Amino acid sequence: MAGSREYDVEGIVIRHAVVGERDRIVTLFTATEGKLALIARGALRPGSTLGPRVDMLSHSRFHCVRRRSLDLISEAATLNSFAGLKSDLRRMSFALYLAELTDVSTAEGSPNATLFDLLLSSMQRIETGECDDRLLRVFELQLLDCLGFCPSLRRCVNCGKELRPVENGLSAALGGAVCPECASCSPDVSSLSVDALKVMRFWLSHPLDASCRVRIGDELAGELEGHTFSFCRHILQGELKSKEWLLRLRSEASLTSPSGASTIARRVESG
Amino acid sequence: MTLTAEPIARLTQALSKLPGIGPKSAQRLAYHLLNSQDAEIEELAQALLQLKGSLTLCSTCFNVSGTDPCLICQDSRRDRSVICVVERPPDVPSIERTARFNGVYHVLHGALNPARGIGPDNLRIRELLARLRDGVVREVILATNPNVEGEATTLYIRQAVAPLGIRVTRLARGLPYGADLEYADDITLSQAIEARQGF
Repeated sequence: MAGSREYDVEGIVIRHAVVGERDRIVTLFTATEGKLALIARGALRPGSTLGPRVDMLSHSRFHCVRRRSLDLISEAATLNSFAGLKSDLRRMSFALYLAELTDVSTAEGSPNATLFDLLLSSMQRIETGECDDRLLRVFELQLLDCLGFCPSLRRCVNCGKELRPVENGLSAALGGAVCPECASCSPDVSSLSVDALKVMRFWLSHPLDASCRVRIGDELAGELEGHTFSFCRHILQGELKSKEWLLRLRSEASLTSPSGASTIARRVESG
Repeated sequence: MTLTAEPIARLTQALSKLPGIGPKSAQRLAYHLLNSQDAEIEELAQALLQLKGSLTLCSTCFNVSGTDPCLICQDSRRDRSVICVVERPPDVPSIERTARFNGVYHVLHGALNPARGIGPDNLRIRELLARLRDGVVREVILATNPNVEGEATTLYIRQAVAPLGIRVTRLARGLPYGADLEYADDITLSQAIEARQGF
């Protein structure tokens, strides 16, 4: 990229904002440049060829011109518009959560090809495959791994002893699992079941598709959600807004039960 | 030491807070106003002062209006059985200009945006559902923007309205007039093919 005034980059739109009357600032996550903010002039103009290609969650190839401030997108070609994903509220909400998580956990100018592949393959799976919460948990855990914050799940992070197949503990502050003897060493230690430990190890050592095929019950799913998200929250030092949205969708059971729609109506009207 | 006189600097700073106005444009506007006739400045100042004071939200459709209910909601010639749902107040005159819609409106004042924490409670969705319970409405036209946020809003409202048994439609998607097929994106083109019509 160095030396040339123009360059090509492939990326997924993970955030956008309107500037001026018709322009957008687009934040991409790319394999080669990491997170990258660009300006898309005229993207809001009716009939703009850039508009649909810089919409949230679009995967496109961009031809950019380097400038003193934000680089300018001069052309774009769609690689995957994820149309199937954008026509389903649950799938769209899942993808928006992944986009926000990627956005807030990465910094500009830090390429991470593994994380890009993870985001892309997760979105492809959300669009075409089985769409349930397991994918979000796998993504959270593998994202932590990609960023160098992988929870230590083989040995106790406090005393170093190998973990036994008994109920252990997990601490985001300490960065991994703790043995029963060290369970009181940190106030944030939560109970880690044997099954949860096995599943988390499996998810960290297998690709996305294989990880998403692991069958888990509701109780174990709830435990895993608590663990992976406590790590994400600890690393991000805050909550994700789209997580609240996902929780709301889930609580309304809006997309999984036939009566979901009436639930929404009642919930919205009652405030 | 400041190089610009304080009133100019103050006006420049105020103007630069407007959308689409950078510091340079703000300064240019400030100097333009300085050289304008006193009457023009007076008119502008009065218009700005009256902007908030004389406007209100219509308690029926939530459009910005000088009266409550707004002129459209007051108009007995409008078809109250069709409600067009739009994101923002400026969308209403855009549709009115087409002269093809004779129903009434409902302004949401935004679109769902999970990443920014904008959920259904931040929009006028509750008020929309309340309007639909009167038994008069037979169609809701969702005229949100064709982007992810607009689509999320459409999908959410569609599900919320479904149990009421009211027909829900949305604006057609396809190629804009004057566009070039070669440069059309996949989503627009596929929607244009799917929604093709005999003529």
